[in-house]
Amino acid sequence: MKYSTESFDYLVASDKLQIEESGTDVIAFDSRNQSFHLLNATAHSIIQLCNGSNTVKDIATALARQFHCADLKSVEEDVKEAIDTLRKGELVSLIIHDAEPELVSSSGHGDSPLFALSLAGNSMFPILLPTDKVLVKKCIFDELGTGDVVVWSDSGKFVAHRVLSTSTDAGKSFIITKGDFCTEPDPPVEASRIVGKVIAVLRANALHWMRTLDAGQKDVLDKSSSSRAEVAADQEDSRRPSYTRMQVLDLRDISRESIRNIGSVEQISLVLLSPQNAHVWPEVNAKDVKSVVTVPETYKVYTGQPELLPEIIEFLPSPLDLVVCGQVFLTAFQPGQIKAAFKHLVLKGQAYVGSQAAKEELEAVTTIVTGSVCIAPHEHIRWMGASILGPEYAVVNQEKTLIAIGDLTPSPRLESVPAGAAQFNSIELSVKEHAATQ
Amino acid sequence: MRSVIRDLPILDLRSISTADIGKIERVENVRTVVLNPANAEAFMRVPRTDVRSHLIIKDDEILHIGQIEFNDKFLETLADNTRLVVLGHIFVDGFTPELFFRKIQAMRMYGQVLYSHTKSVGALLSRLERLQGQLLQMPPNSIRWVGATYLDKTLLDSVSGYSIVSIGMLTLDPKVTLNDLTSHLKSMVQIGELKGKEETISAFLAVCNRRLGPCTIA
Repeated sequence: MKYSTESFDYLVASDKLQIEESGTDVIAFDSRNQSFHLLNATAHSIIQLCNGSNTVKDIATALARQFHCADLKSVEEDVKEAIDTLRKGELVSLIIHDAEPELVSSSGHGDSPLFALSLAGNSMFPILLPTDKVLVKKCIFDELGTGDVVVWSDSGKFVAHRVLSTSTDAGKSFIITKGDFCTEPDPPVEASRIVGKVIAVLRANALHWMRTLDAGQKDVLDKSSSSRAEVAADQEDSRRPSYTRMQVLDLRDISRESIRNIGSVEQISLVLLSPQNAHVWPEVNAKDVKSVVTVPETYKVYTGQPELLPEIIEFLPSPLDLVVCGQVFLTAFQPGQIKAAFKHLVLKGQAYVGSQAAKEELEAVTTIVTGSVCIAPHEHIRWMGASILGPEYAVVNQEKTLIAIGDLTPSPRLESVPAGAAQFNSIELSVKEHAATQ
Repeated sequence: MRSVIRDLPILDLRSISTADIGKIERVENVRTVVLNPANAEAFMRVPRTDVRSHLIIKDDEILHIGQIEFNDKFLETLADNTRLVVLGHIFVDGFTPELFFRKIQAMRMYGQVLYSHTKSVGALLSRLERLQGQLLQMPPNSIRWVGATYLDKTLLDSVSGYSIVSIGMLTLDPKVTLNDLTSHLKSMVQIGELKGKEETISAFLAVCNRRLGPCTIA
């Protein structure tokens, strides 16, 4: 199947292309065949605009503006011609967005465009996020290696998981795959079901090459056993620190070697890792660590009990990617506002919202590691830490909802638990037991 | 000569060289260790116990320690496009969003954010990359009690009709009653340890909309 360049085609420059500016010249170096291409200003601009989010028409419009040219039609023709030349040199590829599975399956892998596919689920978190599109290059079984993220078809749907191993048995080839976020590998996948390899991710209109996203993991996988032995020998000479009794141990900016050097980690509520160093965490001697979260680079991290407000929306350039460890209060958000404020929420703990509709909206954008989304009124009393619930609560607050996070001890003078305090706190029984002994 | 450092709320090692960090034998019972990117790796090799958190301040970041009234006056003291890290608490009774966005490029916050002006805190959240602590609403222009406070009838008389934000240990006089508290305090936000008789603590908590910390029955 041959593909000709059209106005509505999306384009991406090859990730093997290195652009160097030298004085007034721009040189493109293609690392695949060690060749150089001298680019004029127009070709350079075109390659820069081939970012996975622009069509031929978009590029022509941008160039017409840049070079003050009124004849958009002729600019578009020139761009098409230039793109065709760049495509022949495999410097630029076409992207087809959300293609029908039949088209993806039937296209050959030689001259094939790249396919931008939307995938559901969190099985590849944090490398792939639920709102990402993956850029898939068609390939055959022999082109796959351990650690690649491969797309295969499963009853008309596409699945992207990482290759653990490849094998050939009785003339049939198989791959074993697993989602990074999954605990178990998938059943063996026959080579005939393989669609291609994920080479990049389109996230919020920006292109992220897989080799960059995956750099940390690849590095760990490729490490030879001899170099590991050298590292281990070096470590024997080093002092090995231990971390005990900390709320948050943030290791996101710490190198893999330093993490390997940690002697022990004990009684930690939360450990934060980056995608680059997360894969060495299993080597750490850790005891009584309640939570370990790998945080993608673009994500904000809130630990504790933040109460977020809808007013945030008017100041956000785009919805938030957020990791919350603890309790987050979103009770002021109306249905519709949650979607505008949050692109993806990773929750380890509880999120409180004001209604069932808001709960459903939040759950649609949330990856719950542990915990749940609860419904609570916006007007509530909140105590964190150690608190005592006495009969005075009902006198002042009547039936107002109490959310107590931490130890809530009923006063010996409390004869019955007010309804508002009973909703989220398991103290009813101890009060009844106390009353029975009186 | 190697040293043992212990029993500090904050240990600021930003100006200490990698070689000198290597001379530290042990760090014990420190709430927060502050480091720079160049010496953070070296500190990872220092044995420690009861170090509750460490904070790496990048070269382009500014660290503020303590309580901040986060308003236009404070923002005016900052350079444009500041990357601000706060170790402590901030009070937000309102600021000009345009000024905030000009001055603050990004923020990290380790402590509590107490706010009364929702639009301002909305702006702040949009630039807040890391929050370790609470984000708590307080009534506008609340009276601040910062540090250890002894709450008795005389103090209550002096703040009658006001909303209070208390940060630090609060000891309750045993003579204070529920009626004293409800008749004097408009609202209460309390962060820190609470000490007193069981009845007094129960009465005090009944008037707290938001509170955080341990409590000790004396």
